Formats: sequence, structure tokens, C-alpha cells
Amino acid sequence: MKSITGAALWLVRLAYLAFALFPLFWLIRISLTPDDLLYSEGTTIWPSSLTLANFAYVIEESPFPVFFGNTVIVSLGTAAAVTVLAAGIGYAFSRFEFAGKRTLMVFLVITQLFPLVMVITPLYQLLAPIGLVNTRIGLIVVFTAFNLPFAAFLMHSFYEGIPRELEQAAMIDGCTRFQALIRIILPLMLPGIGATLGFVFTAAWSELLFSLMLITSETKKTFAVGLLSFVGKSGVDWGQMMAAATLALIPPAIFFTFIQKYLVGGLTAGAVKA
Amino acid sequence: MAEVSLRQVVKRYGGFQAVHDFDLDIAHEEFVVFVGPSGCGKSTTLRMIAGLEDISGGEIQIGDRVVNDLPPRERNISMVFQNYALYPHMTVRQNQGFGLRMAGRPKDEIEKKVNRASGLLGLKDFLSRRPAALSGGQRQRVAMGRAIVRDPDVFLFDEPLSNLDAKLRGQMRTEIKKLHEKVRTTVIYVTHDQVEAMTLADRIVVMRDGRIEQVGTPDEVFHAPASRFVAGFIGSPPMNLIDARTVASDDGVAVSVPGGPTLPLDQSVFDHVGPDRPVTLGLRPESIAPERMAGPMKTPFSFSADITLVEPLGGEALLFLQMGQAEVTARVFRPSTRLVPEKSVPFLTDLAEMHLFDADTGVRLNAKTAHES
Amino acid sequence: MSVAADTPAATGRSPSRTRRRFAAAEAYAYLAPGIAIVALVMLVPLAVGISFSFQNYVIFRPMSRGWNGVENYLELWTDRTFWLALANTARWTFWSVAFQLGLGLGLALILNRPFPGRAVFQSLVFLPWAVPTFLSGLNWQWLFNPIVSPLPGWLTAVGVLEEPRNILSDPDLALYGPITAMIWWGIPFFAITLLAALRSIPQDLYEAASIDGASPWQSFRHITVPFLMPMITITILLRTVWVANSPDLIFVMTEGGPANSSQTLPNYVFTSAYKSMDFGYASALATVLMAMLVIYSILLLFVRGRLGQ
Repeated sequence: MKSITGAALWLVRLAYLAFALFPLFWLIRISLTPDDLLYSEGTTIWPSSLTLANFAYVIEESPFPVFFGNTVIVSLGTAAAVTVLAAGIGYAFSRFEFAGKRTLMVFLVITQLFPLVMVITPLYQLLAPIGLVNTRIGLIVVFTAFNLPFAAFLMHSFYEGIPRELEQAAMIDGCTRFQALIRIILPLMLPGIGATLGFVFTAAWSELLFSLMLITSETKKTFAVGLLSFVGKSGVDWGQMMAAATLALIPPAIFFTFIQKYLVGGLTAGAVKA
Repeated sequence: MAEVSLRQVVKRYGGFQAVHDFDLDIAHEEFVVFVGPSGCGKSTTLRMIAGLEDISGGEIQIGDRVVNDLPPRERNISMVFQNYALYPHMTVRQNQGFGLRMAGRPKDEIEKKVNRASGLLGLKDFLSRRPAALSGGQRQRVAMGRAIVRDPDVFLFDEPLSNLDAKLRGQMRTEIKKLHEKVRTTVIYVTHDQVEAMTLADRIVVMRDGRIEQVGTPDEVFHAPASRFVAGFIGSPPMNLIDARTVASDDGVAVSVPGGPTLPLDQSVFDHVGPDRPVTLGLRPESIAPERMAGPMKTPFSFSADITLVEPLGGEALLFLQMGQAEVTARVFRPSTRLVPEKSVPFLTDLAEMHLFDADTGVRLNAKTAHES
Repeated sequence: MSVAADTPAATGRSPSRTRRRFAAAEAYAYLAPGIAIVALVMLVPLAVGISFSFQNYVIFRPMSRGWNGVENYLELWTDRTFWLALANTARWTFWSVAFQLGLGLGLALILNRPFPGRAVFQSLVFLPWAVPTFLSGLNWQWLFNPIVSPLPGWLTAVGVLEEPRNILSDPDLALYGPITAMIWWGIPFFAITLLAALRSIPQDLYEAASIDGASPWQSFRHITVPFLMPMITITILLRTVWVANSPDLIFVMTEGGPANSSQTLPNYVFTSAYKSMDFGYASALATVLMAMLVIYSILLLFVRGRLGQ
């Protein structure tokens, strides 16, 4: 009886694993398949020969390295900006009582209801006169605003996990509140900061619509836009595209693998309070 | 030099008043303990002295400075928290030196002071450990080390021992006492444990519902509790508080326990209270004993009661008696014979150790007991 | 001692009130930069966007721009594509969220008990969440193509399809392509939040229940579910809104086709705005979408409040 349940459990686990990984496997499998086998061996699990030609082309000849660089800049910039700002908001929510606190929290929740598609055009018209359209800074500003509300709540729940007595002790030990934040609280917030950085980085890395609308020049395109314009062209080389996609997966996958356990931990700390 | 004085200090949270007109003068190097049940305002008062809570009214003075408006860092105090609040990312050495570092003291001075404090507290071997690698007692010591290193005007302790097990708690209590002998500084110590208060304090401040019930030395608070509340709070097992009435008869004036004995009363007290008034009679378990094992008493009074239960505790025993309608505890030291439940046993109590409280207000009615005069 | 009496007594009249006000100012200082950027980049454009919905605003016809009252909304009332997109949005959101919840809860339960290799397993099954949405769209688009993927063949083998063909080009099935991609991508989010909630359930409750003779199912029903309920409702709320608002996958995989059969509201907004260049109409569509999401959220929170009592 026990061993039957055990076996059944493993079967379920393997099913989850297969469902999660098979599409990724297929992506990589396509990127390694030589062009002439793409369709002729389209449905076999493993092609009869492999090639790195697609990767070589993407890295050496295509504009993707530029797109890649742009995406790294925009994603890191966004992650850094959001984390700093969310650290401020989360701290204020966690440690202060002030007029309008509830209103502000509700406001941040409500922003999650906004349909992005509606905001894009007015945003374009607002950003254009101040020269933020078709710039990476402009993208960072927009991504920052859209990722900030969730990140602020995430940081808030991490702050809630740190005893208030620690900063009180520091303030008695001669710190101003700000010094206590910098010297005592933030070092302890590293898991939370890491989780927020990773979460926002992944989100910014995935963003498509704003990049599509706000970026027009080839040299400033992000990965998503570049990949999509690939599809638009006639005679798409699928192998090359999948190779580019595989490369695009690496940074967020690394980031996410690193942060996922902190994410669970942070949400647990918040869940206890909620 | 640091006296601490609180004048008419008030704390309000919205409509709720947590502390009412708190008045207290604490002398230089005095060890004062705030004691009371949870929610009595003792921690709030301490945190107002520390500057961690704003005061809603009144004035707090440390040394000759009014500190109402000063942030904690400018009050030159140090504090030991209930959960120790050690900085988890710093070693024991860094934890202790943090305050001095923030004050911008030179490295060798910090080193010297941390070493001295660590020597005093037996922390020498743990200096490079992080708090997570320490036992509860060691953490407690680090918290105290961190407090004394800074050489503050006032030490504040907020229930520092309540996270320790009973044995360690006793040990640390002794150490805190010794420490205060060595490092003479003004100490304000908050606890809900009356044993800690009795053993540590020069003076005890008993609080209830945001007000001071009594301020006095441990002796005063024990032997002359100012109210029924203090009488019931200080002492273990607690004082017997018995509903009774004042009576006047041919034999003179007395206080009568319904269905039980009638104990003679001072004429002056009786005049003050009036005849046939409900009162609360207070008798410490220590001042009641079976006649055959009673020690010397100043004004012995004998009565008879049924022993309903005996709890032997080795060196002493607790007896539960039925005194009329009241259930009363007696504490007997070194019982010479085996005690068993028994009917109509002759008992003695010391009238000089009798306490009388107003049944309604709980205020003490008789003068201080013999012990004090 | 060290600090001299350099501060003279009493510094002002109602001193601690000044201090409290200062503390509040400090809180606002921590908040201000973030709140300002959110307000400027989200709130202002939103207001402008809503104002568009009451205008005749087609990029190709700049001369005819002007206020036109509720004309866009009246047009919407008679627009068959709008009603189709509305129904599709409901279908798309319901199936995506329902499966994400069910499978995400299952995954969280699996991850909540130890087994050899759990840490590695966890980081692998969470990977889809790290995949950019548009990429998972491209990837699934590829997977549904019977010429370059074994998936349609497998679906035929288990009897879901009668022959290996591309469901994305079948008007009856097209929407289920993006739904599958959305489920695949979104399971980890549910699993992460529910796992966090599971970890916060006191373990002794289960011990007490098993001592009282509760079966595993009874423990699940009477301890796990009630404890998870707050987290489940809030996650459903967040995800429903997010999924309903999200055009990426449909835009990438089907562009709403074939023949609008997989059109949803956000995608319809997007195509109205950037293919027909009719911003007025697109904004009216988006405003209706948001209004419905607001009503939905209020209802859900209301029901949750009722159940909580």
C-alpha cells in the first residue's frame, strides 16, 4: 500500500516535471537542429544530427547581441530602480503610522487593475515631449512604475519579518533612523532585496508591449521586440530564432533559480501577518 | 550623574490612555523595578524614557536635561530588550562595539571597552561568533555587554529574563545583581515577575492599568502593601485576601470572617472604618501556622480550621485550610511532623502582620505592620 | 558622564507634537519618489486614456478629432466583435486561472513534503515562470504545429484530436492554444504563493488532528483549505486581473484569429489602437474592461469577507 502511494506520487511528480520542461526541451532541440532536418524530422524526439550553426549565426552575425545588451541594461536598470524605491515604500508602510497610509496602499493595489493597453498611447504622448521615447531610460522609467506596486508589497512583507527591536536597539546605540535602516535593517533584508531584484529583472526581461510601442530604432530594441520582428519578416529562419530564444532564456532562468526560495520565504513572512 | 525624573507623564493611543500622570524620581545609581501584570503600562513607560515612544504629556528628565524631544540616540541610555535584539549579521564583538563605533570612538578604545565588558560577563571565548551560534543565556549576556560597553547614564531593561528557562533565569538574576554592584549606574528594570522585582530592586514601582499603585522598597511593598492589588501581586504564594466585616461587641472591636474566627482590631482603625463595614482581611501564608509548629509571633491569635489539602515541598509545606467560608493558604517551614488533612486543627496567626483593605476601593486601612515600625 | 548638559531644558511648547509631525514627514520622504513615479506613469496616462474614450480620435483623421460624448460606447454596444471578445475574455481567464489554481495547488502540496531531490525539482518546475511570456507564446505556437512538433500526434494518440492538426488554425479550438501556454507559464506563481501559505500553517495542528483520528483527506479539508483560503482568494484576484488584462500570448500566438475566434478584449484594444489607429474606440474598450475588473474585484473581496465571517 505504502509503496503504491509512493510510486503514484513519483508518477505525479514526473508528470509535472515533463509538462514544465518539455516545451523548453523542444525549444533547445529546435535550435540545435540543422535547417534541412527541421521539417523532415520535425516530430522525432531527437534529430539524427545536431549543429551549433544557429547559435554561431545569432552571436556573430545577427543584431541579437545588441538587443541582448539593451535588454540587460533595461532589465538591470529597472530592477535596481524598483528595488531602491520599493525599499523606501515597504519601509514606510511597515514602520510608520501616518495619515493616508491605507489610501496609498489601496491605490497601489488598484494600479494592478489598469489595463496596460489603455495606458500606452497617452504614455507615449507624455514621454515624447520630454525626449523619453525611443530611449532605454524611457523604458526603465515605465517598467519601474509598472513593477513598483507589487515589489513594494513584496518588500513590505520582508520588512515585517524583521523585529522592530533591532532598529530600536540601533537607535539607542546612536543611530538615526536612516542609519539604522542602512546599517542594521538593509543587511538583514538581503534575501528580500535579492528576491525583489530577481522578480523585477525577470518581469522586465519579459516585457513586450511597451518595448514594441516605445522603441523604434533598431539599435535600441530589446530582445522581445527583436525576436518578434524576426517573425514578421518573410522566410523566418526558425532554427536561428529558437537559438536566439534559448539565449534569451538563460539570464532570467539563472536569476529565477537563485531567488525562488527567497520568494517563498518572503511570502511566508508576510503570510503570517496577513 | 544621572537622576531620572518623570513628571505627570501621560501616554495616549487615540482614545485609550495607557499611562496616567506618572510621577517618579529615581536617584543616581538606584535600581528601580517597574512591576505589574501585562498591559499595566510598565513597558510603555520604559519606552517613553528610552525615547522609543512619544510622550503625550508631562516631562521626562535624565540628569539635568529634559529629554522629551530628544531622539533615543541623544539620551545616553542603553537598553536590554526582551528578545535581546542582537544584530544577527554582526559578531559578538561587533555587536558590543556598535554603539561606540557610531559615536566615532577610536578603535583601541572600543577594543578595550569590549574586552572589559566581555571579561565581566564571561564572553571572551565567543567574541567572533554570531548571535545565531549562541545559547539563550549567552545571547542575554551579549545584550547586557552591549549595554554596559557604552557607559550610559541609565540602563533600561525590558523583561530581559522572560525568554529564559527557570533555572537560567535564576542564574542571570544573580548576575544582573552582581553586575550592578560592579557597574554602578542608574537602572530601570521592567518585569512582570514579582520575584525578580523583590530580589533586584532598591525600590519597586507596582503598576496597574497605567497608574502607580505603590512605590517602595521590597520590604515596604511586601510588608505594607498600599492596596489589595499590591498585596495580591507581591509574594508567592499570594497573600490570603478574605472577605470580612468589622464588628463591635462586648469584647471590643474586631473583624469577623463569615463562619470563621473573629480577629481583634485596633480601636483607632475601627474608628476610622466604622462598624459593620465590609473589609478585606489580608494574611500572608507565612504568618499562619498550626499551633504546634508556629514560630515566635508578636501578637499571636489562635483559631481553629480544617486542613483540606497538604502540598509538601521538601523544606516547607503549603496547607490549604477552610477558615469559615474562606479558603486560606498557610506556608509552614520545616514541618516537624507529617501533615495530613484533618478537622479542627488549632492554628496561630500574628495580628501584628494583619492587613486590612477597604472592600470597595482596595485601599489599605490599617497602619503599617509591626515589621516596619 | 560623557554627554554634557548642552541642551537647555524645554525646547518648545507642544514638543512631542512637533516630533510626531517630523516622523510623518520622514515616512513621506521614504514614500514620495516611488509614489510619484507610479502616479505620473500610471495614473496620469490612465486619466488621459479614459478621456480618449469620449473623443473621436482616429490617427488617420486628425481633422475630425473632438469630443463625441458616449458615441464610442454606443458603437461598442452594437459591435459584434466586442461581444465575442468579451465572451472569449471570460473563457480565456476562467480556464487559465482555474487550471493554474488546481495544478498550482497540487504542485505546492507536492513541494510541501520532503522527498529526495526536492530542491532541484522545485527549481526545475518553477522554470516556466522565468520564461518571457512572448517567448512561451512563440514556443507553444511551435509546439502546436504538427509538422515540427510531436505534440499534435500525441494528442491524437490519446484521443483529444481525431487527426494531428494545428488547433491554432481551428476557430473552435484556437483559444485553447494560448490558454495552454498561459497555464504552463502561470502554474509556478500559484505554487509559490500557496507553498508560502502552506509553510505558515502550524504543524502541530496536523499532529493534533491525526491524534484525534482525522484521515489525511479530513486534515486537508478542515485544516489546509481554511488556512489557504485567504491566500487563494488574493492570488485568484491578482491573477484573474492580470490574465484578463494580458494580450501578449494571444497577440503572439493567434493575433485573435482565425476570424476573431480567439479575440479577447485586451488584444482587441491593442489591434483597434495600432492596426485601425482608432484610439477613441480602443480607449472605450479598455475602459469597459477595467470597469468590469473593478466590479469583479469588489465582488470577490465582498464574497471573501462574507465567507470569512
